[in-house]
Amino acid sequence: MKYEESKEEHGDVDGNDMDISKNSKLHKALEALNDEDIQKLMEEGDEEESAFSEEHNQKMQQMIGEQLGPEAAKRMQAIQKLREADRNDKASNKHNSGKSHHVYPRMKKVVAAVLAFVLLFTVTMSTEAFRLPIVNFIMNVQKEFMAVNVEATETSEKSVEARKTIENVYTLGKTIEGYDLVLEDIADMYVLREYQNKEQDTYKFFQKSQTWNSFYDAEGTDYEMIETIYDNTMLSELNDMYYLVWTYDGYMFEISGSLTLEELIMLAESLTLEKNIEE
Amino acid sequence: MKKKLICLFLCVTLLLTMSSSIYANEIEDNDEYAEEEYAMEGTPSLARWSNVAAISAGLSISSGKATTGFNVQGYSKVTKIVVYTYYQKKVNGSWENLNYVINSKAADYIVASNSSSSGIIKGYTYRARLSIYAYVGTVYEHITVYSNTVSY
Repeated sequence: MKYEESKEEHGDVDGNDMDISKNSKLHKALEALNDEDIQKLMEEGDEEESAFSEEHNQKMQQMIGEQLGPEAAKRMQAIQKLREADRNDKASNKHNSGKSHHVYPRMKKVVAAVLAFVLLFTVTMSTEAFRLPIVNFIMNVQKEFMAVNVEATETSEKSVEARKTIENVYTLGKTIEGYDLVLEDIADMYVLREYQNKEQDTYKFFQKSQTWNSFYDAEGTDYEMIETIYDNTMLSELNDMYYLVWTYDGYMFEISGSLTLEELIMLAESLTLEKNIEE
Repeated sequence: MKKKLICLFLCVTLLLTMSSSIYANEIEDNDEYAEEEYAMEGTPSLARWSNVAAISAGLSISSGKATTGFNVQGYSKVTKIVVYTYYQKKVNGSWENLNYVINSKAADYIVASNSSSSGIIKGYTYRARLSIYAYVGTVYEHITVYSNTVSY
Protein backbone atom coordinates (compact mmCIF):
# COMPACT_ATOMS: atom_id res chain seq x y z
CA MET A 1 0.00 0.00 0.00
CA LYS A 2 2.75 2.35 0.91
CA TYR A 3 4.58 1.45 -2.24
CA GLU A 4 1.58 2.24 -4.42
CA GLU A 5 1.20 5.66 -2.83
CA SER A 6 4.75 6.43 -3.55
CA LYS A 7 4.38 5.30 -7.15
CA GLU A 8 1.38 7.53 -7.54
CA GLU A 9 3.24 10.61 -6.51
CA HIS A 10 6.56 10.17 -8.27
CA GLY A 11 6.10 7.55 -10.97
CA ASP A 12 8.66 4.82 -11.48
CA VAL A 13 12.27 5.36 -12.33
CA ASP A 14 11.78 5.05 -16.06
CA GLY A 15 8.82 7.35 -16.07
CA ASN A 16 6.36 4.61 -17.02
CA ASP A 17 2.71 4.96 -16.14
CA MET A 18 3.22 8.61 -15.32
CA ASP A 19 -0.01 9.99 -13.97
CA ILE A 20 0.57 13.38 -12.53
CA SER A 21 -2.43 15.19 -11.16
CA LYS A 22 -2.70 18.98 -11.26
CA ASN A 23 -2.25 19.08 -7.50
CA SER A 24 0.73 16.80 -7.35
CA LYS A 25 4.06 18.03 -5.96
CA LEU A 26 5.82 17.39 -9.27
CA HIS A 27 3.29 19.49 -11.15
CA LYS A 28 3.82 22.36 -8.71
CA ALA A 29 7.57 22.03 -9.00
CA LEU A 30 7.43 22.03 -12.80
CA GLU A 31 5.19 25.08 -12.77
CA ALA A 32 7.67 26.91 -10.56
CA LEU A 33 10.46 26.25 -13.07
CA ASN A 34 11.34 29.01 -15.46
CA ASP A 35 13.72 28.87 -18.43
CA GLU A 36 16.76 29.83 -16.36
CA ASP A 37 16.12 27.02 -13.91
CA ILE A 38 15.80 24.53 -16.75
CA GLN A 39 19.05 25.79 -18.29
CA LYS A 40 20.75 25.60 -14.90
CA LEU A 41 19.63 22.04 -14.40
CA MET A 42 20.97 21.14 -17.82
CA GLU A 43 24.34 22.78 -17.11
CA GLU A 44 24.67 21.08 -13.76
CA GLY A 45 24.16 17.85 -15.58
CA ASP A 46 27.21 18.61 -17.74
CA GLU A 47 29.60 18.14 -14.84
CA GLU A 48 29.20 14.42 -15.16
CA GLU A 49 29.36 13.35 -18.74
CA SER A 50 26.09 11.45 -18.44
CA ALA A 51 23.23 11.32 -20.95
CA PHE A 52 19.70 10.04 -20.72
CA SER A 53 18.36 7.58 -23.21
CA GLU A 54 16.47 8.84 -26.24
CA GLU A 55 13.34 7.18 -24.92
CA HIS A 56 13.69 8.94 -21.58
CA ASN A 57 14.16 12.29 -23.29
CA GLN A 58 11.02 11.81 -25.33
CA LYS A 59 9.03 11.00 -22.22
CA MET A 60 10.46 14.02 -20.44
CA GLN A 61 9.53 16.19 -23.39
CA GLN A 62 6.04 14.74 -23.46
CA MET A 63 5.63 15.30 -19.74
CA ILE A 64 6.82 18.89 -19.87
CA GLY A 65 4.59 19.48 -22.91
CA GLU A 66 1.59 18.16 -21.05
CA GLN A 67 2.32 20.12 -17.91
CA LEU A 68 3.81 23.39 -19.17
CA GLY A 69 2.67 23.55 -22.77
CA PRO A 70 4.23 22.91 -26.18
CA GLU A 71 6.44 26.02 -26.06
CA ALA A 72 8.28 24.80 -22.99
CA ALA A 73 8.63 21.36 -24.60
CA LYS A 74 10.24 22.97 -27.69
CA ARG A 75 12.63 24.94 -25.51
CA MET A 76 13.52 21.78 -23.69
CA GLN A 77 14.14 20.03 -27.01
CA ALA A 78 16.34 22.89 -28.22
CA ILE A 79 18.36 22.83 -25.02
CA GLN A 80 18.81 19.10 -25.31
CA LYS A 81 20.06 19.46 -28.86
CA LEU A 82 22.53 22.12 -27.80
CA ARG A 83 23.70 19.93 -24.99
CA GLU A 84 24.15 16.98 -27.29
CA ALA A 85 26.12 19.09 -29.76
CA ASP A 86 28.32 20.33 -26.91
CA ARG A 87 28.91 16.78 -25.76
CA ASN A 88 29.88 15.77 -29.29
CA ASP A 89 32.36 18.70 -29.49
CA LYS A 90 33.97 17.67 -26.22
CA ALA A 91 34.28 14.09 -27.38
CA SER A 92 35.83 15.28 -30.63
CA ASN A 93 38.39 17.46 -28.78
CA LYS A 94 39.26 14.61 -26.48
CA HIS A 95 39.92 12.43 -29.49
CA ASN A 96 42.14 15.07 -31.13
CA SER A 97 44.13 15.74 -27.98
CA GLY A 98 45.57 12.26 -28.36
CA LYS A 99 47.19 13.44 -31.60
CA SER A 100 49.39 16.15 -30.05
CA HIS A 101 51.21 16.81 -33.30
CA HIS A 102 48.11 18.67 -34.49
CA VAL A 103 47.92 20.84 -31.40
CA TYR A 104 51.57 21.32 -30.34
CA PRO A 105 53.78 20.48 -33.31
CA ARG A 106 56.54 22.93 -32.30
CA MET A 107 56.71 21.75 -28.73
CA LYS A 108 57.23 18.19 -29.88
CA LYS A 109 60.06 19.25 -32.16
CA VAL A 110 61.70 21.22 -29.33
CA VAL A 111 61.46 18.25 -26.98
CA ALA A 112 62.92 15.99 -29.66
CA ALA A 113 65.78 18.46 -30.28
CA VAL A 114 66.59 18.74 -26.56
CA LEU A 115 66.58 14.97 -26.19
CA ALA A 116 68.82 14.57 -29.23
CA PHE A 117 71.25 17.17 -27.88
CA VAL A 118 71.40 15.56 -24.43
CA LEU A 119 71.94 12.17 -26.01
CA LEU A 120 74.66 13.43 -28.34
CA PHE A 121 76.35 15.35 -25.50
CA THR A 122 76.39 12.42 -23.12
CA VAL A 123 77.54 9.98 -25.79
CA THR A 124 80.41 12.24 -26.90
CA MET A 125 81.31 13.13 -23.31
CA SER A 126 81.64 9.46 -22.49
CA THR A 127 84.16 9.07 -25.27
CA GLU A 128 87.58 9.99 -23.96
CA ALA A 129 88.68 11.55 -27.23
CA PHE A 130 85.81 14.02 -27.07
CA ARG A 131 85.51 14.39 -23.35
CA LEU A 132 89.09 15.32 -22.47
CA PRO A 133 89.39 18.29 -24.83
CA ILE A 134 86.02 19.61 -23.67
CA VAL A 135 86.88 19.18 -19.99
CA ASN A 136 90.30 20.76 -20.55
CA PHE A 137 88.73 23.63 -22.39
CA ILE A 138 86.29 24.26 -19.56
CA MET A 139 89.08 24.01 -16.99
CA ASN A 140 91.25 26.42 -18.94
CA VAL A 141 88.45 28.92 -19.30
CA GLN A 142 87.76 28.65 -15.58
CA LYS A 143 91.41 29.16 -14.75
CA GLU A 144 91.66 32.00 -17.24
CA PHE A 145 89.01 33.95 -15.41
CA MET A 146 90.10 33.11 -11.88
CA ALA A 147 93.87 33.01 -11.97
CA VAL A 148 96.72 33.90 -14.26
CA ASN A 149 99.27 31.19 -14.69
CA VAL A 150 102.75 32.36 -15.63
CA GLU A 151 104.69 29.46 -17.03
CA ALA A 152 108.19 30.64 -17.80
CA THR A 153 109.25 27.71 -19.93
CA GLU A 154 112.11 29.40 -21.66
CA THR A 155 114.45 32.20 -20.84
CA SER A 156 114.76 35.33 -22.90
CA GLU A 157 118.47 34.88 -22.85
CA LYS A 158 118.65 32.01 -25.30
CA SER A 159 122.03 30.86 -24.11
CA VAL A 160 120.89 30.46 -20.50
CA GLU A 161 118.73 27.47 -19.57
CA ALA A 162 116.19 27.65 -16.78
CA ARG A 163 117.93 26.69 -13.55
CA LYS A 164 116.23 24.00 -11.54
CA THR A 165 117.73 24.81 -8.16
CA ILE A 166 119.43 27.74 -6.52
CA GLU A 167 123.04 27.65 -7.65
CA ASN A 168 123.59 31.38 -7.76
CA VAL A 169 122.26 33.35 -4.82
CA TYR A 170 121.19 36.88 -5.68
CA THR A 171 120.45 39.81 -3.41
CA LEU A 172 119.23 43.37 -3.79
CA GLY A 173 122.12 45.83 -3.76
CA LYS A 174 119.87 48.61 -2.44
CA THR A 175 117.12 48.84 0.16
CA ILE A 176 114.32 51.34 0.65
CA GLU A 177 115.11 53.93 3.30
CA GLY A 178 113.68 53.01 6.70
CA TYR A 179 113.43 49.31 5.91
CA ASP A 180 115.61 46.61 7.45
CA LEU A 181 116.17 42.96 6.54
CA VAL A 182 114.06 40.94 8.99
CA LEU A 183 113.94 37.50 7.34
CA GLU A 184 116.36 35.56 5.16
CA ASP A 185 115.58 32.03 3.94
CA ILE A 186 117.94 30.38 1.45
CA ALA A 187 116.76 26.93 0.37
CA ASP A 188 117.50 24.54 -2.50
CA MET A 189 114.57 25.83 -4.47
CA TYR A 190 114.30 29.52 -3.54
CA VAL A 191 115.71 32.53 -1.77
CA LEU A 192 113.42 34.72 0.29
CA ARG A 193 114.33 38.01 1.93
CA GLU A 194 111.84 40.17 3.77
CA TYR A 195 112.30 43.82 4.70
CA GLN A 196 110.25 45.75 7.24
CA ASN A 197 110.03 49.35 8.49
CA LYS A 198 108.96 50.72 11.88
CA GLU A 199 105.33 50.86 10.79
CA GLN A 200 105.64 47.14 10.07
CA ASP A 201 105.14 47.66 6.33
CA THR A 202 107.01 44.99 4.45
CA TYR A 203 108.31 44.12 1.03
CA LYS A 204 109.68 40.78 -0.11
CA PHE A 205 112.35 39.73 -2.52
CA PHE A 206 111.94 36.25 -3.92
CA GLN A 207 114.27 34.25 -6.18
CA LYS A 208 113.09 30.96 -7.65
CA SER A 209 113.74 28.65 -10.56
CA GLN A 210 112.39 29.83 -13.85
CA THR A 211 110.61 26.48 -14.22
CA TRP A 212 108.18 27.26 -11.41
CA ASN A 213 104.54 27.83 -12.18
CA SER A 214 103.14 31.06 -10.81
CA PHE A 215 99.48 31.86 -10.31
CA TYR A 216 97.98 35.27 -9.60
CA ASP A 217 94.46 36.29 -8.69
CA ALA A 218 93.10 37.42 -12.04
CA GLU A 219 90.03 39.26 -10.86
CA GLY A 220 91.55 42.23 -9.08
CA THR A 221 94.86 42.38 -10.91
CA ASP A 222 96.18 44.72 -13.61
CA TYR A 223 99.16 43.56 -15.63
CA GLU A 224 101.57 45.40 -17.85
CA MET A 225 104.98 44.82 -19.30
CA ILE A 226 107.36 47.60 -18.37
CA GLU A 227 110.85 48.54 -19.53
CA THR A 228 113.79 47.84 -17.27
CA ILE A 229 117.32 46.66 -17.89
CA TYR A 230 115.90 43.12 -18.13
CA ASP A 231 114.23 41.76 -21.25
CA ASN A 232 110.98 40.61 -19.63
CA THR A 233 109.60 42.58 -16.73
CA MET A 234 105.98 42.36 -15.70
CA LEU A 235 104.27 44.65 -13.24
CA SER A 236 101.04 43.60 -11.62
CA GLU A 237 98.97 45.59 -9.18
CA LEU A 238 96.75 43.76 -6.81
CA ASN A 239 94.84 45.45 -4.00
CA ASP A 240 97.38 48.28 -3.54
CA MET A 241 100.19 45.78 -3.64
CA TYR A 242 102.67 45.64 -6.51
CA TYR A 243 104.40 42.60 -7.92
CA LEU A 244 107.41 43.18 -10.12
CA VAL A 245 108.52 39.97 -11.84
CA TRP A 246 111.48 39.53 -14.16
CA THR A 247 113.78 36.79 -15.40
CA TYR A 248 117.53 36.71 -15.33
CA ASP A 249 120.25 34.05 -15.32
CA GLY A 250 117.69 31.21 -15.55
CA TYR A 251 115.82 32.45 -12.47
CA MET A 252 112.58 34.26 -11.88
CA PHE A 253 112.76 37.19 -9.45
CA GLU A 254 109.89 38.88 -7.71
CA ILE A 255 109.60 41.93 -5.50
CA SER A 256 106.25 42.46 -3.81
CA GLY A 257 105.03 45.17 -1.49
CA SER A 258 103.30 48.51 -1.21
CA LEU A 259 106.05 50.45 -2.96
CA THR A 260 106.04 52.95 -5.79
CA LEU A 261 106.97 51.92 -9.32
CA GLU A 262 110.19 53.92 -9.11
CA GLU A 263 111.19 52.17 -5.90
CA LEU A 264 110.41 48.76 -7.40
CA ILE A 265 112.49 49.42 -10.52
CA MET A 266 115.34 50.84 -8.44
CA LEU A 267 115.39 47.68 -6.31
CA ALA A 268 115.15 45.34 -9.31
CA GLU A 269 117.99 47.00 -11.12
CA SER A 270 120.19 46.71 -8.02
CA LEU A 271 120.19 42.90 -8.31
CA THR A 272 123.59 41.56 -7.34
CA LEU A 273 125.11 38.08 -7.36
CA GLU A 274 125.85 37.32 -3.74
CA LYS A 275 127.42 33.90 -4.02
CA ASN A 276 127.71 30.86 -6.21
CA ILE A 277 126.88 27.77 -4.18
CA GLU A 278 128.65 25.43 -6.62
CA GLU A 279 131.98 27.19 -6.16
CA MET B 1 53.80 0.59 -27.02
CA LYS B 2 56.23 1.90 -29.62
CA LYS B 3 56.62 5.18 -27.73
CA LYS B 4 57.28 3.35 -24.50
CA LEU B 5 60.01 1.32 -26.17
CA ILE B 6 61.66 4.46 -27.56
CA CYS B 7 61.51 6.13 -24.14
CA LEU B 8 63.00 3.08 -22.49
CA PHE B 9 65.79 2.93 -25.06
CA LEU B 10 66.57 6.62 -24.54
CA CYS B 11 66.64 6.26 -20.76
CA VAL B 12 68.96 3.25 -20.90
CA THR B 13 71.29 5.01 -23.35
CA LEU B 14 71.42 8.14 -21.18
CA LEU B 15 72.06 6.12 -18.06
CA LEU B 16 74.85 4.10 -19.65
CA THR B 17 76.61 7.06 -21.23
CA MET B 18 76.41 9.22 -18.13
CA SER B 19 77.69 6.50 -15.85
CA SER B 20 80.60 5.81 -18.20
CA SER B 21 81.44 9.53 -18.07
CA ILE B 22 81.82 9.30 -14.34
CA TYR B 23 84.08 6.31 -14.70
CA ALA B 24 86.24 8.16 -17.24
CA ASN B 25 86.55 11.10 -14.89
CA GLU B 26 87.81 8.93 -12.08
CA ILE B 27 90.85 7.61 -13.91
CA GLU B 28 92.30 11.14 -14.12
CA ASP B 29 93.56 10.92 -10.60
CA ASN B 30 93.28 7.61 -8.79
CA ASP B 31 94.01 9.04 -5.37
CA GLU B 32 91.59 10.19 -2.80
CA TYR B 33 91.99 13.29 -0.73
CA ALA B 34 89.43 12.52 1.91
CA GLU B 35 92.07 12.58 4.65
CA GLU B 36 92.96 16.23 4.18
CA GLU B 37 89.31 17.19 3.83
CA TYR B 38 88.48 15.49 7.13
CA ALA B 39 91.49 17.07 8.78
CA MET B 40 90.47 20.59 7.87
CA GLU B 41 88.91 22.53 10.71
CA GLY B 42 86.53 25.38 10.14
CA THR B 43 83.98 26.19 7.47
CA PRO B 44 84.71 25.94 3.76
CA SER B 45 83.99 28.94 1.56
CA LEU B 46 82.80 28.56 -2.01
CA ALA B 47 84.82 31.61 -3.07
CA ARG B 48 88.09 31.14 -4.96
CA TRP B 49 90.98 33.58 -5.02
CA SER B 50 89.33 35.84 -2.50
CA ASN B 51 91.91 35.16 0.22
CA VAL B 52 94.95 34.37 -1.91
CA ALA B 53 96.78 36.82 -4.14
CA ALA B 54 99.62 34.73 -5.57
CA ILE B 55 101.01 31.21 -5.54
CA SER B 56 104.21 29.80 -6.98
CA ALA B 57 105.15 26.13 -7.08
CA GLY B 58 108.14 24.28 -8.46
CA LEU B 59 109.58 20.79 -8.60
CA SER B 60 113.05 19.50 -9.37
CA ILE B 61 114.45 15.97 -9.23
CA SER B 62 118.04 15.05 -8.82
CA SER B 63 119.76 11.79 -7.76
CA GLY B 64 116.43 10.11 -6.95
CA LYS B 65 115.29 12.97 -4.71
CA ALA B 66 112.35 15.17 -5.56
CA THR B 67 112.38 18.68 -4.12
CA THR B 68 109.39 20.97 -4.15
CA GLY B 69 109.22 24.62 -3.29
CA PHE B 70 106.29 26.97 -3.06
CA ASN B 71 105.20 30.32 -1.76
CA VAL B 72 101.65 31.48 -1.09
CA GLN B 73 100.87 35.16 -0.63
CA GLY B 74 97.50 35.73 1.02
CA TYR B 75 95.74 39.03 1.48
CA SER B 76 96.35 40.82 4.77
CA LYS B 77 93.07 39.47 6.20
CA VAL B 78 94.40 35.89 6.02
CA THR B 79 95.21 34.43 9.44
CA LYS B 80 96.52 30.96 8.57
CA ILE B 81 97.65 29.01 5.53
CA VAL B 82 97.83 25.22 5.30
CA VAL B 83 99.47 23.54 2.30
CA TYR B 84 99.38 19.87 1.39
CA THR B 85 102.10 18.99 -1.13
CA TYR B 86 101.55 15.69 -2.97
CA TYR B 87 104.34 14.15 -4.99
CA GLN B 88 102.71 12.60 -8.03
CA LYS B 89 103.89 10.17 -10.68
CA LYS B 90 102.23 9.68 -14.06
CA VAL B 91 101.37 6.02 -14.61
CA ASN B 92 99.42 4.91 -17.69
CA GLY B 93 98.13 8.40 -18.28
CA SER B 94 96.89 9.08 -14.77
CA TRP B 95 98.55 10.70 -11.77
CA GLU B 96 99.26 8.66 -8.65
CA ASN B 97 100.26 10.04 -5.28
CA LEU B 98 103.60 8.90 -3.93
CA ASN B 99 103.87 10.86 -0.74
CA TYR B 100 102.65 14.07 0.82
CA VAL B 101 103.88 16.74 3.21
CA ILE B 102 101.93 19.31 5.24
CA ASN B 103 103.16 22.84 5.87
CA SER B 104 101.23 25.31 7.97
CA LYS B 105 101.80 28.85 9.19
CA ALA B 106 99.64 31.30 11.13
CA ALA B 107 100.35 34.22 8.78
CA ASP B 108 99.26 35.68 5.45
CA TYR B 109 102.38 34.34 3.76
CA ILE B 110 104.08 30.97 3.63
CA VAL B 111 107.16 29.71 1.83
CA ALA B 112 108.57 26.21 2.15
CA SER B 113 110.71 23.59 0.54
CA ASN B 114 110.23 19.83 0.96
CA SER B 115 112.01 16.74 -0.30
CA SER B 116 111.01 13.13 -0.85
CA SER B 117 112.72 10.07 -2.33
CA SER B 118 109.73 7.78 -2.00
CA GLY B 119 108.81 6.15 -5.31
CA ILE B 120 111.09 8.31 -7.44
CA ILE B 121 112.48 6.15 -10.19
CA LYS B 122 113.76 6.96 -13.65
CA GLY B 123 111.55 6.74 -16.71
CA TYR B 124 108.52 8.56 -15.35
CA THR B 125 107.07 12.05 -15.28
CA TYR B 126 106.47 13.76 -11.94
CA ARG B 127 104.71 16.81 -10.62
CA ALA B 128 103.61 18.29 -7.30
CA ARG B 129 99.99 18.87 -6.48
CA LEU B 130 99.46 21.70 -4.00
CA SER B 131 96.26 21.79 -2.04
CA ILE B 132 96.09 25.16 -0.32
CA TYR B 133 93.75 26.23 2.47
CA ALA B 134 93.76 29.94 3.28
CA TYR B 135 91.91 30.84 6.48
CA VAL B 136 90.26 34.06 7.53
CA GLY B 137 89.29 33.24 11.08
CA THR B 138 87.54 29.88 10.89
CA VAL B 139 86.44 30.17 7.26
CA TYR B 140 88.79 28.86 4.61
CA GLU B 141 89.00 28.81 0.86
CA HIS B 142 90.58 25.92 -1.00
CA ILE B 143 92.74 26.24 -4.10
CA THR B 144 94.58 23.48 -5.96
CA VAL B 145 97.53 24.22 -8.25
CA TYR B 146 100.23 22.11 -9.85
CA SER B 147 103.94 22.58 -10.19
CA ASN B 148 105.90 22.22 -13.38
CA THR B 149 106.25 18.64 -14.59
CA VAL B 150 109.64 16.91 -14.59
CA SER B 151 110.58 13.96 -16.79
CA TYR B 152 113.18 12.03 -14.89
